[in-house]
Amino acid sequence: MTITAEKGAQRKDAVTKTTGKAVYAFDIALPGMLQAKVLRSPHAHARVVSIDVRRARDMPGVGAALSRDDLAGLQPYYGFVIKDQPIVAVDRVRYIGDVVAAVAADTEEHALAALEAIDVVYEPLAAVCDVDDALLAGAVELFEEQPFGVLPSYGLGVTARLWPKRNVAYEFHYETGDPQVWQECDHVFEDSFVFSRMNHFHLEPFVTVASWDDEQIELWTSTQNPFPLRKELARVFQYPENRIRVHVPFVGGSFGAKHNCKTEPIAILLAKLSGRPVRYCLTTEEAFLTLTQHPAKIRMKTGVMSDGRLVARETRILLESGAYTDGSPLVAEKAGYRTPGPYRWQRIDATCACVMTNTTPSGPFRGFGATQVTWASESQIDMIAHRLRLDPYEMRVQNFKRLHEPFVPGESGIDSDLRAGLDAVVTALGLRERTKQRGRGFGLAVGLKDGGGINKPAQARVKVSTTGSVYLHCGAVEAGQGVTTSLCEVVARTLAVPLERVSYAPINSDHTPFDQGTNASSSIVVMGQAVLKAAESVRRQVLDFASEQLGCSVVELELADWTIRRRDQEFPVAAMIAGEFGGTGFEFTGEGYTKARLTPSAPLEAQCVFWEIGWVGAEVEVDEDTGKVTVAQLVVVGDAGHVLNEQNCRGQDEGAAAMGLAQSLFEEMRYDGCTLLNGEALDYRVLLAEDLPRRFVSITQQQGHGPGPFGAKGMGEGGMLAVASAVANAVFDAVGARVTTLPISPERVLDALDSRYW
Amino acid sequence: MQLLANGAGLVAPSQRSIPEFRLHQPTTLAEAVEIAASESGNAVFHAGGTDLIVQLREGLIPDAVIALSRIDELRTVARIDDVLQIGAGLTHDAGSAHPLVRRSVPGLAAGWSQIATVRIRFTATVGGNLLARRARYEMSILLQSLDARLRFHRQGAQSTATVPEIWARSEASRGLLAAIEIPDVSAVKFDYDRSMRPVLTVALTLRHNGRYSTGHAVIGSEYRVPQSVEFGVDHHYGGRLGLRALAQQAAARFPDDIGDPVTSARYRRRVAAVLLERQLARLLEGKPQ
Amino acid sequence: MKEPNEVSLRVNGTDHHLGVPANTLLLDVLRDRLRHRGVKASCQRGVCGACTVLVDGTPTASCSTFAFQVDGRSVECVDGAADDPVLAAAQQGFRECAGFQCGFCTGGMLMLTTALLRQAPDPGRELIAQWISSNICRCTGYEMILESVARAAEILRESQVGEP
Repeated sequence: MTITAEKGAQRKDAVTKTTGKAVYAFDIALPGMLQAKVLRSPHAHARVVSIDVRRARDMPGVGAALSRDDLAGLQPYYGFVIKDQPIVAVDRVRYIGDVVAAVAADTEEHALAALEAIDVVYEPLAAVCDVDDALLAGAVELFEEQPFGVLPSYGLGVTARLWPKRNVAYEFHYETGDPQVWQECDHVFEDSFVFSRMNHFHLEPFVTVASWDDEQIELWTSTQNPFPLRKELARVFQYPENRIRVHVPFVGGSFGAKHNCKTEPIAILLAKLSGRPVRYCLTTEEAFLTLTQHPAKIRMKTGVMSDGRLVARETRILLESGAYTDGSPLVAEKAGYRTPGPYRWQRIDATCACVMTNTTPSGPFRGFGATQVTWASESQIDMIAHRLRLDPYEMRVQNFKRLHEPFVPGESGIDSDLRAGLDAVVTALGLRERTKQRGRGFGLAVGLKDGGGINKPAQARVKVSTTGSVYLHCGAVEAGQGVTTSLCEVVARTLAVPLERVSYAPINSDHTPFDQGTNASSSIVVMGQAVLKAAESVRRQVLDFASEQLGCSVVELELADWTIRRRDQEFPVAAMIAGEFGGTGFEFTGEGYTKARLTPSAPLEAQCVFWEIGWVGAEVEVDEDTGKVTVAQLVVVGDAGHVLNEQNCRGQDEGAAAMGLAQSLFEEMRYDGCTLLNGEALDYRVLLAEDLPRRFVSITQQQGHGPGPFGAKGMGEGGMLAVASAVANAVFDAVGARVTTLPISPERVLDALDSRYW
Repeated sequence: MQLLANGAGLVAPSQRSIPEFRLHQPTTLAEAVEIAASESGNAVFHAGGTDLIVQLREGLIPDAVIALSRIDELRTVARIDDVLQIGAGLTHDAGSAHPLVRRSVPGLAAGWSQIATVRIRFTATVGGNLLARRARYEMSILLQSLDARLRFHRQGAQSTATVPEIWARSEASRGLLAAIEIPDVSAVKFDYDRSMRPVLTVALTLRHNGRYSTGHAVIGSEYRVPQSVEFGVDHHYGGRLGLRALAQQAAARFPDDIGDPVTSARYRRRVAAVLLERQLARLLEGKPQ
Repeated sequence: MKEPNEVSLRVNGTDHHLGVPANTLLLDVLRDRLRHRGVKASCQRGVCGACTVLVDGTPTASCSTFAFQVDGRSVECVDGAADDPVLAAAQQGFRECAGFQCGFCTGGMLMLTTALLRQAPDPGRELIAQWISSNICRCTGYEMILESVARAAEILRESQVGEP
């Protein structure tokens, strides 16, 4: 159920997606296309002594086979900040599933047969399977030489280092305020938390179809960021960007996984070597060996006054980055930087390190560092409230930042009334009316993250045909979130045309305006502003044109429904165009561009564009005999600032909360040493409809303070951040068991119950 | 995923790369058995196919597939003397709803009606569930508790096996699983508790035997083979406290094998005792779930 | 006399006679031979349900069904079956209530819904949740799917009012 503004328009992709006509990269087939399959390391860590793919090349149907011997002339290592991941293994394999060789053949069967003809000699090395192992003094190092990386320029209070110590690729540190305030605290509490590891489990696999003809690389791929991908591919292949064309059809889910190089480099290289188009599509089992969320160990120390006023906080976060860094440094930045949460502090001291292990690489995942730190932070707030015999709601409210109060010195102000969100949770949950009952408990939590990316540019183009058909060109990828509908809505409102009149042009990097990527809940606030400017530009041009045609001032004119109104007169624009341009007509085109200003005072290059906040409440029932937790109610509140499409906002909050709920209770990747135990769809349990709480409420507020079009804010991640801590807090409220390791399994609940008494 | 025989690495075939095989679609049990014999051992049976496809993707390479869907004999249910015979080719949906199953062992019908998902239940069969040999599949837990016998047919011979025996040997050496036989059903009370799934589930059979009943409890979980504990239940068991003691004593006897890297044996024993006590109460005192 | 590898099936009302090797799965027949690209594949082990089609009305994972199994049977999938009133109501319900996001699970969810509504025209929330639990949606959190199914049932009932 939902309580919100009036229902918005039907999504623009509603018909195509409910008739099976929507095309994904998964569906692309080119004439003569080969199928790619890869050989993956069976070892967690080994030196590749020798590899020989020559026999594979002679197998039936094989167009190309590649190994480290085929990387000449390339820059074969990629990564967001640190270039450490090779297209195929060079000197070593670093996790079970690391790609060693690849083959393209006319059929998958032939490709598999060819893989069996590849000879590899490994020399196994000691492996480190978790952060504790990796940090030991004598631990084996994953990289003999430190891979190349470039640190961004940071601002006030931030320092960072690459490769500060053994098996640590990156360390982020942020501090603000006077360390002396620790002395003034009435109490200092230190607690430790463990955050689990999930797989993105997007239903559309990682998939790329690539061709390399006439010196043109062309690919159809399931990605969230076509332009940074193109740039990285240009570097890897040492090839001009204007000869790499990236198409992005509908994306069948991503949740952070589909950034930068995944299936693309191998598909492209096999296309080059074979001279044929190549499709490289991973299975679900391989997706588990491609990218995961970051598990984390978090130590959190908080200084507080007896009345509950928060004073100082220190966090030490170890993110397990797996075998290659992927987006790890960026996730670490955010995990550390988001330490303050929604509260006011006098001192923050946060360090987050990326620890390399011989497991699947970790990278961007919905929530991006904020889920990890929120788990610790919002659990600890309740723990402290309990220790001080304070009410957790009151303690939160007492410490909330005011509306517009800067997040930290040099940062932008919080753009939501934090209490208004929490009060909406309390009301929907019925917390005030509760009667205390053993085994039933309520929990609250608030997650906060800087939204919109850092220093993120976006460009958009809007054009209108003679007859008033509107085209929106921009790089925001439709991965299910409904962004194409919401952005078209911005255009429709600006040009005063029905939403149906606006179409969203397919993404093709040759002519789609530049964008940094569909991530960080940025599409509405960042891209939305570029789209708004582009639409406003068109509107202005049309009005200027009309004022010239009609010989009057622009202020007398209005544009609506592709008709100019001047007092009670109406002038169809199409007719005016015909008058000026003749029968061939004309298209008005407007461009829009936006980017946050660089602010040296801001800790992370530029001030945060908007603050994404998720307020969560949970009611649980705990069986004290078995430890089983049943979530009776889950309430999530988000602030859309201004709703552009009600169903999209709701869908984002509920989808995010559902992932958080699964992580709270059961969903996790499980390892025995460096071996993944549940890397397939049956053993890896995601949320099903039957797992929903009896009551699942999402509330989309419109507080009106957002910087996006019409006051909008971004959505998509906030709903996930605080679910786990709200559930843990509710479990504690129900039976006094504090679980600090995710998921909150029945065994952990019973163990916590047993330890209650001492 | 498959680990290649030469140790060079792992590969991930999709459903597109299922190896070629000879297809047989017999219409009688006898014919199926005859074909299996003529295929000299390297044939697999195909019922619902849910799990066979997975096995084929994971490296199983049969010469022949013998599809069982046209054999009506595999989908019959009968009660002969005091034995309930359940055709191995019955889907979960059809089998759990079968009137004779519901009448004979209501607890089995109830437990069986809950396993898997609605969609899978229309396709997957009880025989396939057992012979997939996956710990997280549940029919072996229920049927082990019921002391079911598995009737295999091969050319010129029939044999039976107990449920625990399926984990040790492949069915190819036995023949075709035709039916599952549950003995002494008139003396049986049965309860299956899957409220803690997938952490653990417990099946309990009480078999009436004069003044005493024998209890057969089986614990199952997602990674570990089901384990049995048998115990006696005096009809003067001493109320709820007596049941608690009985459940705790029985659960304490589950071996350490029930633990795995995710959930400890200690926890599973402890919670098995809780579930067993509830199950005993339901079976002996008619307490609602 | 039919060739050993020949399969006759009806897909969305159209009869097909195809020569396919025995190891071919229904999924690949539908997607590659008959170009029904609305049938998706994801987990390829029958769990996620993105490939769900109806075989003689029963929801079935086409990734785990051999083509020979559907010989002589009728298959329905999301693309091209719009003249079925129940599927049409399901599609309308999902559109109105936004019971989809990325769309990759949607074809399977719609077929599941169609089968459910044919046997239970007025399903309660619990029954809907039971059926929808057959398939995985990673985007929506399911609540809007459950509402879509309930709305589809309502649309169907409304459309039948006044008919004999």
